[in-house]
Amino acid sequence: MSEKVKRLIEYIISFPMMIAFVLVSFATIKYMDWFLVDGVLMISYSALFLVLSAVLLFIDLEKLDIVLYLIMSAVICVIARDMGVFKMVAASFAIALVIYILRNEKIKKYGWPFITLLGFAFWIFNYRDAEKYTVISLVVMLFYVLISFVKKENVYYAAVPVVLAISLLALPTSDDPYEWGIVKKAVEGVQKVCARVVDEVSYAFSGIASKSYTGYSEEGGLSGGLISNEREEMSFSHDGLRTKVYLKGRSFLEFDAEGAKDVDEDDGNKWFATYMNALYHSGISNSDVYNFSRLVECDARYKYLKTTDIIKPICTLKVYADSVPEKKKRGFDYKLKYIIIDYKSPDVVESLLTFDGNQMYEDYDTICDYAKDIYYLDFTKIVSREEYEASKDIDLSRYLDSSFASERVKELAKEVTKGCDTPYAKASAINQFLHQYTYDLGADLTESNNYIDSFLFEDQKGYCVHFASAMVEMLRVVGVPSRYSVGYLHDERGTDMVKSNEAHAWPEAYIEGFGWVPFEPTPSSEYGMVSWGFGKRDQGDGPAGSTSQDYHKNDQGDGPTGSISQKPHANDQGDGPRGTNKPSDNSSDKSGKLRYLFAFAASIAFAVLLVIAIKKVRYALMSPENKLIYDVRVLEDKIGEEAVKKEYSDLYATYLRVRFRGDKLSDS
Amino acid sequence: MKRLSFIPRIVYLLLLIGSGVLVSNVGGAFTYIVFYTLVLYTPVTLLWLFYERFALRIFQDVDVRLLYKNRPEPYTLSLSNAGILPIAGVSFAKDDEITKFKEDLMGVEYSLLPGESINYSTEISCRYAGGYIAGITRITISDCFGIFKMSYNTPSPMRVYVLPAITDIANEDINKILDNNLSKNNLYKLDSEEITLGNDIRPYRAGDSISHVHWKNYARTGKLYTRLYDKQESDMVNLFVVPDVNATIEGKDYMLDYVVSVANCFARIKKPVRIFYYSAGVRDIMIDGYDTFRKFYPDRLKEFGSVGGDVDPSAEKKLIEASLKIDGTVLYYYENEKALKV
Repeated sequence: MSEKVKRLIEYIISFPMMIAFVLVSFATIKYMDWFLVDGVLMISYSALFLVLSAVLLFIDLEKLDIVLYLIMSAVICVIARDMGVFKMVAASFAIALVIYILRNEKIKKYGWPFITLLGFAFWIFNYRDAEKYTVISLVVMLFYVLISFVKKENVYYAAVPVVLAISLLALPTSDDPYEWGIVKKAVEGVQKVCARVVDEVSYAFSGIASKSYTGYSEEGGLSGGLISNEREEMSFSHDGLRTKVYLKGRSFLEFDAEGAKDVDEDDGNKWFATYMNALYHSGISNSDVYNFSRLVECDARYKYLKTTDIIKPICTLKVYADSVPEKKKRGFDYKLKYIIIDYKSPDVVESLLTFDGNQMYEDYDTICDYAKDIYYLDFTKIVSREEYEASKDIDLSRYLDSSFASERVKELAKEVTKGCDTPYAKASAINQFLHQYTYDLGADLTESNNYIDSFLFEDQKGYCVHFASAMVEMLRVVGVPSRYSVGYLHDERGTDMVKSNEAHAWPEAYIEGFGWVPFEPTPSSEYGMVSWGFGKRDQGDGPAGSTSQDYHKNDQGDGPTGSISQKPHANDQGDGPRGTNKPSDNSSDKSGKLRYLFAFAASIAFAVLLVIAIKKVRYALMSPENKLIYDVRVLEDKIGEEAVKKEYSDLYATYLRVRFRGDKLSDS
Repeated sequence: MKRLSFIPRIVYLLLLIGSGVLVSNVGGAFTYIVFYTLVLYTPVTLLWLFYERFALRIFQDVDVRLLYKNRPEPYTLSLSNAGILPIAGVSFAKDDEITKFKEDLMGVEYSLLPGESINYSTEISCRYAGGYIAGITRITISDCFGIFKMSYNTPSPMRVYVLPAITDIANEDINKILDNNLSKNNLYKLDSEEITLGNDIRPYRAGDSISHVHWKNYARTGKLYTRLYDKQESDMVNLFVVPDVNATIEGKDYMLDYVVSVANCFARIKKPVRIFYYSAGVRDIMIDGYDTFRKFYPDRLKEFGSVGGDVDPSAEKKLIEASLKIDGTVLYYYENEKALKV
């Protein structure tokens, strides 16, 4: 590789450094509002100068770069005849001059570090105003400078800063601190994968949720302290009103020291017969009914759940499934039609509170018409005539067994419900009373012989299982039929996935004339039930104190908040100078730019021709001695010094004499 | 120096952590770009190092085919950059025990522009005899700040064969053995007079000296026969060189020196010795003078003097089996023990 080619390649490799310097200089000049500058022209002008300088190396006129630049600049100024252009040319000339000076071998070792540090200091002082390109340019300059300190030559390591600079151009910046969105997402992703692996393993080996973690269990046995877990057990999705919904697996009838036992039979849709009669006798119209109830169709699918139960809302009308295996597990999907009721609705409460206790049943056809009227339902497809008749004679005696209640539990129940004359009032009183107890997921009453008694009088803290069991037992003591139910209390307002920490136990009390009503004695805020806020008196006012509006979790974002793309800022190309005149020929005009491009191209062509002409004239005017020195140097560049010494020894000897001894050629 | 080499990495880590803390608390182009630069420096540099590894071409060569132990020979190292980007930070390493260069090519970092080739000429001398990898054995490329380094074996290692010196390290052992033989009325002794060829002949075997061929018989019969010494071959000294499966360069070097010393002993007194060695089978050569010694040294030496490669684990067994069929004095040189046994 010849020396000239080597120098050319080195020059090209050092371009990024010089272009970076030009950009930083431009940004500084523009920031300080020293000159009228047009960004595109400024940069392209300087870049052209650099390219031209490289070309000049071939014809060995490196030292005349500045002269050439002066000539080019003069040509452009003559063509443009504009003060603004003159200023622009002057600015680019100054930058080119600095580059030229700094390329001097003696100066560049300290010159470039000084300029770079100066640039860093200036822009750190004004860092809020530094544009991305300016900072990237400073980084490139810094790399070159640091490398030149650490290593002899920095051009060989140029690939890394250049690739870095190109990569940095594509990355976003922001005025706000970095929020690690990508990292957070990556960490969350890894966490999800790990959690899923754990879930898969535990699902494969355990089948039923572990007794140590929250989750649905079809066993009624008492557990010790629990650890909250967020495993996704099933999905429950629909397009209707989103609120909290009880999803029941099963109910239990009795208690013993080990927990609930004796699974209650599913009474089918008899509850609907009772419910419709309650509505009928309360005079609820089809417009009123939507204040406190909705007919919903949904899709459900088991994920990390294995059970023989079909998990469904407490007021389910229909279950649709292609196949119903004995043990339902992941992938078991089914559709549901159910009614969701706002038990806290004033209409419902008023109906329940005012009910005098005599259950009335209309004839089947009347209720069929009524159901069609208010819910647009075919009652015959939900409750058959036989079921309807059977619903009139429900045996509630099995829901009144309070043999497990200790004496003091019985006394307590009676004390709490003193003065309450309706079943609903009694249930509400007990529900309210139990809210005074402490919610503690870690409570362990497995060692007790009567955990309900221990819960109420000794530990006085527990979780849903304890609260629900206590209320059921107390209700039965005061003559209100009740049962202990297990399943999930799912908040649909967050996600369609039903998680294991939503597994729940609650009491259901049978309110004569209405049917089974769930209560919520567990005081944790997660279980708090609020009314939807619709009612006869509130109609049109919107929800009151309810959070039943649909919403989705806010997107966490990615990287800097507020913006992924760069904030709009003063454009290098377009927004013009601050407080100074624009060029009269309007450089932002397209035709103006084309004119300048033509001017540049013409300048280059003219400059090249001029350089060749100057060289020839210069050579012709040289003295014989200078011609000899010039020729030998050209020869050395082409074939190397050693080769010249070897092959042109006589000539070289003469050259040495002429150059160092001052001999004249006529003497040689 | 090894401890100091961690300093750039520590500085880099500190800068990286610092920039991360800074960008987490302060926004702006500066903090972001500095942070990105430090984060991206690692993958970009590693990519560049991988590129360098595949772009760098290295070739090393010596002018002569056979080197002599500890004798300098002309050596050339050629480097070229076959890629489109410059490469830098290239340094070399050699086994200092084995190879010495006249000019130190190690500890210097080389850089090449795209398409550039450079040649370095110096002299190389090898310390041990035998065939092995010499010269530059390892290449290290690093980034400009010394944070990341990649080290790998030379893709085209230079294999040399270094001839052992001719010494007298075996003289004492040989003398003892021959003294024993002399006491048993064996003619062989290092300082005994030269013995002459007799009239007994046998069919020519590969390795027999041309000077022992019975040419008159050949002219008559057209078949090659070798004349035997006055004394029967049963008095011949036979040396079996048993190779070491796990040969080292030092072990091979000593073996070669020893065997050459034995051969030289007998060549000098013009008394025959048959040397058996393993090279894709049991092979042998008779040495009884300088003619036959010159055939043995160097050509035959190369057949069993190399280190590396797979050594047939049954070599020892085959040599022992062959030795049992031989009459005369049988000596065994065990390379792994560096010992001569009868």
